[in-house]
Amino acid sequence: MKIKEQILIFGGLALFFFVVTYAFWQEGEAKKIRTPVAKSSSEHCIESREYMRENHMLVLDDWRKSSVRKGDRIHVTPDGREFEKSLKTCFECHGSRGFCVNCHSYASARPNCFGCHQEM
Amino acid sequence: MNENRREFIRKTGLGVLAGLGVASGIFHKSSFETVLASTEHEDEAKGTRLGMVIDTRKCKEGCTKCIDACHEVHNVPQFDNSKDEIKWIWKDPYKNVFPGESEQFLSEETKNRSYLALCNHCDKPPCVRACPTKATFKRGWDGIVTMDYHRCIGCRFCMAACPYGARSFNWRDPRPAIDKINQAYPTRERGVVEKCNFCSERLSQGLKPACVAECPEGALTFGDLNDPHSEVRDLLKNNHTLQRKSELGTRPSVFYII
Amino acid sequence: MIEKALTGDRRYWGWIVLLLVIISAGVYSYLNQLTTGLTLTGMGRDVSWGVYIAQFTFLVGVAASAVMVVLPYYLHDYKAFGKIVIIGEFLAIAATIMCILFIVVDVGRPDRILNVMLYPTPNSMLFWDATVLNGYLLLNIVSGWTVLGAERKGVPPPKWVKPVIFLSIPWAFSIHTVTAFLYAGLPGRHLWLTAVLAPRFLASAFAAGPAILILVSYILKKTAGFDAGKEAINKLSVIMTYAAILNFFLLGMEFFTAFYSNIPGHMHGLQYLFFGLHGEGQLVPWMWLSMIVGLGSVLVLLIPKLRTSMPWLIAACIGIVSSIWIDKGVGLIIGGFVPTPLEKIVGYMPNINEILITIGVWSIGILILTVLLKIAVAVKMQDQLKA
Repeated sequence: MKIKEQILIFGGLALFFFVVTYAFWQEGEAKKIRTPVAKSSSEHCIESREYMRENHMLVLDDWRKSSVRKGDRIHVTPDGREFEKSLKTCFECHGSRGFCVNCHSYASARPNCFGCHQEM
Repeated sequence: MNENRREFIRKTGLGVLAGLGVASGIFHKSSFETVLASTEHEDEAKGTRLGMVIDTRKCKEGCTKCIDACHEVHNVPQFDNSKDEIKWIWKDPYKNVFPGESEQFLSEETKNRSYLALCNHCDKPPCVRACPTKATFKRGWDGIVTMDYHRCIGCRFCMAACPYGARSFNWRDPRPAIDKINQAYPTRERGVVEKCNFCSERLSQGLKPACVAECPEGALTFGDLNDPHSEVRDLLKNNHTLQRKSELGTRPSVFYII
Repeated sequence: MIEKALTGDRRYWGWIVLLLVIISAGVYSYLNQLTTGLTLTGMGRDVSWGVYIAQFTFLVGVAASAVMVVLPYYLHDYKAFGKIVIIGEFLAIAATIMCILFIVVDVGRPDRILNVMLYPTPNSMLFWDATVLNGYLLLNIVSGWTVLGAERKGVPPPKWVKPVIFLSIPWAFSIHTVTAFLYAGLPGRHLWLTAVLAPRFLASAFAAGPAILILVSYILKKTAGFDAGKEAINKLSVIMTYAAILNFFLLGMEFFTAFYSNIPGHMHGLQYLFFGLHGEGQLVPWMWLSMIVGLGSVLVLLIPKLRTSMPWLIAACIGIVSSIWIDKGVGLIIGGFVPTPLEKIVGYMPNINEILITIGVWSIGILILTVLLKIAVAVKMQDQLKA
């Protein structure tokens, strides 16, 4: 193999690894975000704060399926409280869609609820 | 004739006869008997089947209160061209709403009136049959044919399947064309089909459908068609009514007193 | 094998670049449609399917017609089709991909298109159509590629591929039958509500498909020096003739049933298409053009002397393809929607964005076909050189 070709191959490989690992060469740490706060304390929510943080999307998906397709519009919590399955219910405590957008834009995960639902 | 062939025909014939014999044993109410051809129009009262009776005699010419109410409540956009048009309920002449019905020697009054058209919430809906994702479905508990806008892929097969032109497609973003957005009800997005939902969101709050509630003449009556004591059944008992294109076997749940 | 598509003369690369340019115009138009919506098409509330679904229907036929070479070659060991069978299979692959693309550009929410598989709905014909089309694509890729690959190595194709090929034969019929069922099972669309729709689809497909195959073979002979063989072309032209006659016969059946029964709904669609209804007849010239060109081509094909003369045969093939394209691609879809369920006459005219997307999808199909045939011809010619 000619020297010229070797330079091309190994140079190319080096460039590739540099580009791929570039993000890790940067100093610093992740940006902090302000965690949005609900108007009322988290005991009012249908589940614990930890559970909702991890599973709110599953809850919403379940609500949408069971209310639209089965007509089951009432959510009953394990301790017997009842909520209407609606985004309105969420925003009664959580204010506005800003509550969602805050984290979602940070995580670059776009919720597609608000193309139709228009709770402010 | 060839001996083999004769033998073959004889055996085949015997086989067919034997087969028929067995078949008549298996199908005890067999296909050899005469049965009533039309079962499509009979009643089969199971569960709730919400429906509507429209007394077209009471419906005032030029009045659009029910249409306006419906479209306002449901954030139905108003486009000024028929291509992008979206409508859940509208008025059209007799020959358009009832194309199969005779127009011969029809009274001028009947001919010139406008008639309300909306989704018939068919008992046997062809749109539900056509939908490839079950985005449109018949609610088992009240018979409303409704849509899950989250699931619709916008293939418009349901629009081809609906014999009543009751479905509209969001050819463009509907929001800019909505005069006054009703915050209590979602809009739709570009790319999905939509149609009348018999106001299922109002029914769940114990209200009547918007068109029924808004009609100043009381021309629209809403209720359970399967309940023999309901108001709609009373009207059906005492008046001759039409269903749109009943010959197609879709069993529309909207009835018209002409 | 793919490397064989990477070597070619200037004409080959010029053609590829030209297609890529047209495809980019199509992609640009599609991005427009994605951001603004299907309002950028000529479709509307009443004519809710248009040129996309029409192309889809036509191309399912082209895809299915591969069976007209596969069946004689593999089932009846008809050796004359030895060289053309791979062209048929690759044409089927390109056509099926175009079909799928036309569905994708037609739906309002392409991001959700997998819902068809996530929520399988056996009562919907569209579910079955998606299933059989994807299956057919897979069958043809597997069988075409495997057989050609074996040929390149100079070994007989592996045994397991035979059942795959045999399966593709009934499968070809199924794709066009199910496509006809999309239309034929809808109450209230009188033009479509006919039991002979599936037979008509198959007949028109088996006329237009072989016609396209003859045209492709002719182009290959002129450009790549690849000759599919005179006997194969002759046989295909006979198949095409029978199928075209059957197609017009079945169309005649539609006319008889509608007009002798005198049922208004059944007559309206045909009246609108061929004679105009209530003074409106946007498509009348088109439909008569289709009839005249189609029947004229059949006449040419019926005369053996003309059928075996290349210029006449090419003209007849172009005639058959255009006639069926108008009948199936323009008339059938629009005639199903007009008059509307409320008996109104509504016009439809595809607009420029829609046409650019359509041409773009066609170009993608032609590009795929070009590349596949380049490979096939290279492999086949290597055989010829050896022999």
